Amino acid sequence: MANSKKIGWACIWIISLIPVLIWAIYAPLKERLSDYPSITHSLGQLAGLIGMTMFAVTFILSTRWKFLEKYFGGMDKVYNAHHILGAISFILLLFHPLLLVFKFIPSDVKQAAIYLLPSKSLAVNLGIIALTGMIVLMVLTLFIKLRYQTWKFSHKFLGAFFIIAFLHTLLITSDVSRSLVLRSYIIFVSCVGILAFFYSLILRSKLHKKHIYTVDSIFVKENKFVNINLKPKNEKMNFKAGQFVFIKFHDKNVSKEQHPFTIASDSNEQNIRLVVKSLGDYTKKLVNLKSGTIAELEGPYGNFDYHPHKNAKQIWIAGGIGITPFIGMAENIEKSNVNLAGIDLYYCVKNKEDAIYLEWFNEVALKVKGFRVISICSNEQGRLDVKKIAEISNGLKDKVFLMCGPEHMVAEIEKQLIKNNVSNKNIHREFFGFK
Amino acid sequence: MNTKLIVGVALVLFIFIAANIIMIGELDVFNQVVVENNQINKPKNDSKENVTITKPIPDNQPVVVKPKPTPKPPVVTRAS
Repeated sequence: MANSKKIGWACIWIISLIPVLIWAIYAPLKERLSDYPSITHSLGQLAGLIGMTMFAVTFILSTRWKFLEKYFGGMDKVYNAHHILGAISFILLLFHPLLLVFKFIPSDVKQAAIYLLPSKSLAVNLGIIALTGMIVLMVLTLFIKLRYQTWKFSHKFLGAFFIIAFLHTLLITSDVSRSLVLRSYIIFVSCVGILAFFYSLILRSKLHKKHIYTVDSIFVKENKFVNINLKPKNEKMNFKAGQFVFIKFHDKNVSKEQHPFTIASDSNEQNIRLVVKSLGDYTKKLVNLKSGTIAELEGPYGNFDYHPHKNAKQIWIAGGIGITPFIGMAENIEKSNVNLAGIDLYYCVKNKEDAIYLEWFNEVALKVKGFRVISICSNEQGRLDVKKIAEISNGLKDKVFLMCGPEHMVAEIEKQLIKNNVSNKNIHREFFGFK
Repeated sequence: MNTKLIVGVALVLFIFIAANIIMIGELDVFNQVVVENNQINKPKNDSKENVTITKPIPDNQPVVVKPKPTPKPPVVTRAS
């Protein structure tokens, strides 16, 4: 899984750095890096070329094409790559015009200012429109807490601004207009990106297989955890415990947008169980779902699985609602009598009341040999760290770690594990917080 | 790494640099316009001897254009 993740990222870097190679071959580097204006101009060009290529790749990563999972280790990782790549491309495109105008500074600031402002040149104006649009959308995405539907709707406009940026690249006089190879590459990558954008926008909902389920029952725990049981209308969806699906409920009181949810049930079960914490505007509405409501499931996605590590002792770390994939896995172990080298589940919550499945896990631990549950309540015992894990689980060596929970918690434990010489290939995490 | 923080810092940096370039550059353009205007309004030569003060003609007064004196015909002398 760790290697497959590397393949995906290696492909991204190769695709993004090919234009740099073509650019470097097109004109001698000695000329390009001869003096201060040439260096800043060259850096500006490179920022634009890499930024545009990465921007195009982000659209490919949001198509939910199944084959992508193989190269990133799961759809959650594909979305995580999409998120990181979007941020890198945005920063590069921000600094593309700045680096280009640095060549005029300090001798001719007036010229630099003219370059950054709208002018008579259509190509320049297109670039300014695209960048301004991107800035607005990125601010909305990252810094303003929007309703999920509003955010998703605004995110769609990134494709429009990408097309405008592509036109700017085509029309402006640069190495792209002068070098046929560079132009062909940029056109190819951008067109693939544009097609991927339209695929996600229009075709994905029509082409990706949907599994129709109905809401069988709902019960609410502690006023903030909704347990939804879904029954297949026709055929059952095949999935592995720990995977997730995108769900759309046909209920006028709930938004029609798809939302990702982890399946919290065993793969051998006919029904599917979802455990949702009422965190946002959408999840709060799920309490009002009525039995019989149609649910459209797309998936399953994800590679968060305990099976490949059966021979090693496993440490499961769950933070809050990050317990959901482990519910399905534990149920699977309990029912299929799999021989395991041992599992220690660290169930981390803020308050005792939040550990809604603790009792159930304790019952599983009584039935399954080598399965232990360690409850960590941060308000009483402090946060879980690697030192605690090493003490309770008898060291870290040769153990495989599976983690799911809030981003900051998982990232912190991952950092500590790496610091304590745990190999990267033994650390597996589920990104459940992707939008 | 915190993506939000990195993008936020980059965005602030971009706005700061771009705003400064535009402000200084625009100021430069403004200064140039002021200088050019001053040069247009400024008399070409300050020496008092060459200053010609023209009396403005009131709007309601008809402008009387004096006819140019016609040149006298050349005196033809008969050769003796």
